This record gives sequence, structure tokens and C-alpha cells, in this order.
Amino acid sequence: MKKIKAINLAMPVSAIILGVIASMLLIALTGVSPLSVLETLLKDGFGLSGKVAPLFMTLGTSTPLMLTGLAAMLGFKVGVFSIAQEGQYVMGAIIAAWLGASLNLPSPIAVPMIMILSMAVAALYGLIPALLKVKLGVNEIISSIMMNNIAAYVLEYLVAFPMRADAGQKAQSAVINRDYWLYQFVYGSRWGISFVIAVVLLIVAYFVIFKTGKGYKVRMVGQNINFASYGGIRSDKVIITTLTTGAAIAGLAGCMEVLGNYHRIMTGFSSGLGFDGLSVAMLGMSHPAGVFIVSILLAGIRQGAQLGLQISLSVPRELGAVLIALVILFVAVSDVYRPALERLLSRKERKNRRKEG
Amino acid sequence: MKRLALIVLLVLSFIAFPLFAGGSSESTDAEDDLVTVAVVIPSPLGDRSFCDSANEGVIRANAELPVKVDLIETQGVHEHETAMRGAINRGYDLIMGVGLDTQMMIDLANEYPDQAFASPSELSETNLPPNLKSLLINVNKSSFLAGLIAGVMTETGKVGCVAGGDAPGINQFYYGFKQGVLEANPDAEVYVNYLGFDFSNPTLGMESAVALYNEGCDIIYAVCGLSGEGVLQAAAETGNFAIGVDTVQDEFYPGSIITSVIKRVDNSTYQIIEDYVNGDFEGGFETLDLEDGATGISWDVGYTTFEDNGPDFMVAKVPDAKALVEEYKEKILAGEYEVYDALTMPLWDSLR
Repeated sequence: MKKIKAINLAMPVSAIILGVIASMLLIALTGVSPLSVLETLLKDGFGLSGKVAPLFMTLGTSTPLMLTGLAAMLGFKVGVFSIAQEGQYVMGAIIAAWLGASLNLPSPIAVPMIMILSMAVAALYGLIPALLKVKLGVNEIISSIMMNNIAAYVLEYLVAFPMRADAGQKAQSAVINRDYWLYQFVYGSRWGISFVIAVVLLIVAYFVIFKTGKGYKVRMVGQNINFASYGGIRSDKVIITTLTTGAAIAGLAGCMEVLGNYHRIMTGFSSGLGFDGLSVAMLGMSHPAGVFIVSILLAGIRQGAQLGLQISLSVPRELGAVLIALVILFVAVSDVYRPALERLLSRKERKNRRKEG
Repeated sequence: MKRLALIVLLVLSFIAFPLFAGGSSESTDAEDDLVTVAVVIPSPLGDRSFCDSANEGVIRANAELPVKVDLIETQGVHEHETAMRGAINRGYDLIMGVGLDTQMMIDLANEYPDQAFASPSELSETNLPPNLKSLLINVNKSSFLAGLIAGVMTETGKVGCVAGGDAPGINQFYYGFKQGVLEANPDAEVYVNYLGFDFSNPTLGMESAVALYNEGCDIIYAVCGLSGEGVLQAAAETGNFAIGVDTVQDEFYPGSIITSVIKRVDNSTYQIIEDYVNGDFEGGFETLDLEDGATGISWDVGYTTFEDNGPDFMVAKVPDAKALVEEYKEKILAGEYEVYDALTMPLWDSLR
């Protein structure tokens, strides 16, 4: 048991370290010292200096990643490689932007209402590929890619025509009611109440998945659907419930991005945050704690790599993106070096045991 | 175990190598007392249009002025505010946002009243905080001149415009152009194809252009950033013609691109930086136009690419077009002729 835990921790950490090292070598080829790269990454991603500390901004940008990561993780747990989070995220955002601009209620009623309705609509949107998968055997990857495209184009249409704010230079909806803006701990950091909600949801997810009967069913279906069905679990129902729950969470991510961050939707809103959730879930080894850590790491590296590196060291932003891609690549090819890592860990353990003995 | 040590050693030597070899990162010490400027652009470089033009201004400022200007590329709206705030955190003297959201710029300026902000283009709002400067380049008149040319030169009597999106900033190009076409050729038909704000998709630009060419258009005005490359390419491949935008694009497909409507974002970027260095920085809204040299058509700055490479039957019409352009330019500058401005006017019936 202990060995499994150690390897789960070692995998993402080694992937990130290898990714960073590999891209530092790449950057070194452009003549920039890798040590200053590392320093900049840490300072601009996780530092505490400046008018608004980069760390707080990282925590802010990590919030939607945690939620979409959690949504993707639920899919993985039940054995479905669902990539529909992007579309659900967008649907949640659309509802939030629409209600946020049109509702006229006091905020203690309106804000929870907007969140719940956003989640409900996103859940319904997620129900479609889930039903297609379970009832008709449609490949979930294909159907969810299409669903994502539909959502993205619906948003583009809405901001260009019906929800278009008049004065804007760009296609964007009206700014939502100021009373509904979510509280930020440090103004301008985007780190606020939505972060707390995301963390609470991760903790709840941990207990539900690992400590309850329902969670046991989910994991069982995910590991071997035939065995689960043989054991009397209604696997269809489990898959559908899990996927729609994930969809609701992804929708909540979109909703809180609108309420707490952009305060409106605009053209280009669907920019891949949903897909980033997949990377987060994979890197986080499909565990809530992993999702939490990886979200922050990824958000920080992204901020440090794509903005910090080009600002301080004039490293092109593309190299920053390569860094993130390399990290994910090292997770994807983990099977190649996983055995070596396992051997390393077990050797250490044996040594430890020998010492104790 | 030995092998592991070897690998570690190899990696370490790789890391250490540039430390001894380069040392280039240490050269910043001498530049500490320079004025520092950050320029945030809305998409990555390489559009040979809007963003690259802003970069030209940055390069020129770095070369000619005692400043250190950093260019910050972003991709997608979700990075714009993060990039701006990142720049604020670094303590630049002046922070410029090129074509970013107007409301965000104003909010940031209000939030940091001691920080100087500026926009060299696209920010159309007259009521600005004192620490935010906007230089807006009006392109309706130069687009009008391009429209005159298209009106004179079209063979089919049908002219098209592939526009990035249905917004006042883009319509300023389109309606000025349309007015010009109709002024030169009242029987002409002008078609428009909006791309839904996709400014970085040449494939989409190409499809839209081909659709317009199939409709019978023979000249298309491309107003859509990087997507416009597809329009220009479609012109060359189908044997039709196009008019470029932002930078001089005449030479991309010589003989297929009649002219380009230049929008000197490089100059406005440079000018703001220069003003700041000279201590003349002042918040507020200002427009630049034909008479300031901030915009115009490529013919006016000496480009004869089309005349040298275009097919004879089209080139034969160039002198007529040139004469007409000169005539109207004088009228416009003398205030005798008014060109519609989508940014400030309600839509004219004659242009509907």
C-alpha cells in the first residue's frame, strides 16, 4: 500500500522535474542561462513580491483548473475518457453571463441561484454524451469533441448577436451586475471565494470517492465494468451520474470564471481551460490531492513561463508553452520509465527495512 | 548507480555550460536607469499585420530612444489581464495595451492611478482617466481611397470585403471602403463577409474570399489581421485581386494585391513612447488621420508593386484611379468631402 502511494507521488513530480529540465536545455540552446530561467519561473509563478503577488495570481488562475481537473478526474475514475469539460465550462459561463446581467435580485439569493442554474444546465449538457455513450455505445471522445464545438460556436453566436453589448469594440456581452461579483481576497489577483469553493469540492470528492459506498461503486465500474456489473452494480447508472456530476462541476468552473473574473463572456472565451483539466487530472494521478497540487503548479508554471520568461528574459512565449507540453509528454510516456522508478523506490524501501531489521 | 551519476553529471554540465559561455543575462545592469516600457499585444507575433506593426514601433523605439521596451505576447482573452497585471507588478514606467479590452484598460488605470497606461490603437473612448492615453488611428478616409481604387478598377462591378467582425472598429474600414466604391462607381455592388472575430485563421479567410470571388467579385478588401493572409492567397490562386491592410502587403503576392491600406500602429506606438521619454505624456483621447501620416495607401509611400507586376488590363486603369484618389484626397483634407465614420456616426442611409 505504501509503495503505491510513493509511486503516485513520484510520478507527477518526476514528470514535472524532467519536463522542466528538458525545456531548460532547450532554452539554454537560445543562449539564456537555465538557472535564471528557473529563478524567473519560481519568482513570476510563485513569488510574493510586487504590487499583487504572483503567487496569489497563480492561485486565482488555478481555481478553474482545479474544477475542470476534478470533472475530468471523475470521468477517469469511472473509466470514461471524457473530454467534454470544455463545452460544459462554456455552457456554465453562458448561463452565468446571461443571468448575471439580467437578474434583479439581492446578491445573497441571486449568486447561489446563478451557480445552481449554471451547474444544472452544464449537467444537462453533459448528460447528452453520457447517454449516447451508455445507451447507444457512441464513442465518448467523438461526441464530446462535437459537443465542445457546438458550445463554442453557440457562445460566439450569442456574443456577436443576442447578448452583444452595444458600445463594445469586440463581440462581448454586457458586464454583469456589480453586486454579483465574487469576493477576491487580494484585489486584482482573482484569488477569491471561488478558490475556497473549489478546495471544498475537492475535499468532498475525496471523501465521496474513497470513503463511501457510492465512490466504491464508481471506482469498481472504472476498473472493470464487467466485474462490477456481475457483482450487481448498475454500471450504466453509475457512469451517467458520475459524468453529469463532473459536467456540473465543469459548469461551475465556467460560472465562477464569469462571476469572479471576467464578469462577462466575449468572443474567444472558450480557450482550452476545459482541456487543461484533462492534463491536470492526468498529472494529478486522478486523485483530488494531486489535482489540487498540479493545478497550482501548472497555473504557476504557465504564468512564469509564458509571461515571466518573455518579460524578464525575452524568451519567446512559445518556449514557455513547450515547457508545459513537455511536462505533459513526460506523464504520457511514464510507462517507459515507471518500472525504473518503481525499482528505485523499492530498492530504497528494502534498504530501509534492512536497516530497521 | 554509476550510470545514474554519469547522467546527472551530463545534465549538470549542460546547465552550467551557458553560464560560463554566455553570461548574456548580466548585461542588464547598465540599463537600470532607462525608462522602461511594456507593450502587451493581443496575439502572438507573426501576423504580418497588426501585431507585427506594433512590434516595428517597439524595435524602432528600442533602437532610437533611451528606453528599454519589452514586448509581451499573449494568446487569447484569458491571458490579456494576467499579462497587464504581470507588467504592472514589474513596475514598468509605462504600460501599453495594443487592441485590448477598453473597459479593462480603464479599470486598471483607475485601480493604479500612479501608473501610466496607453493604447496606440483601437481604444475608442473619449472619457479617459488622466493616466491613460489613447491614440486612435482613423482608417475610414484611407479605406475610402482604397474604395475609390476598387470602384474604378473592378471589371465585374462587384467588390467584396472580408471583415474580421461586425464591430465599429472594423466597420470603420468597411463602410469607408464601401462609400469609396460607390462614389467611384455608383452601380457597383459591395458584399461583406464577417468572420466572427476570428483574426488568426487564414483558412477561414481564404474560404470566405473564395465564396465572394465565386459570387462574382473581383476585388476584395481584407480587414482581418492574420486571417487576411488567406484572402490575399485566394486572390492570387483564383486570378483575382485583393487590397491589403495594416502593413504594406503589396509584395506578398505581387500583381494580385492592388494596394494596401496602411495603419501605422508602429508610428503611434513609437510616438507614445517618445512622448513619454520627453516628458510630454498626457492622458486622454486623441485621433490620428490621413493628414498625420498615420494612415494612407501604399501607393502614396512609393509602392509600385502592382503597376510593375499586375496584368496589363488592370494596370491600364491605375492612372485613372490615381487621379481620382488625388482629387478626393484634396477634397477630404480641405474639408469639402465627408467620409462616414463608423466609430462616431449613426449609419448613413446611403451606405445601408
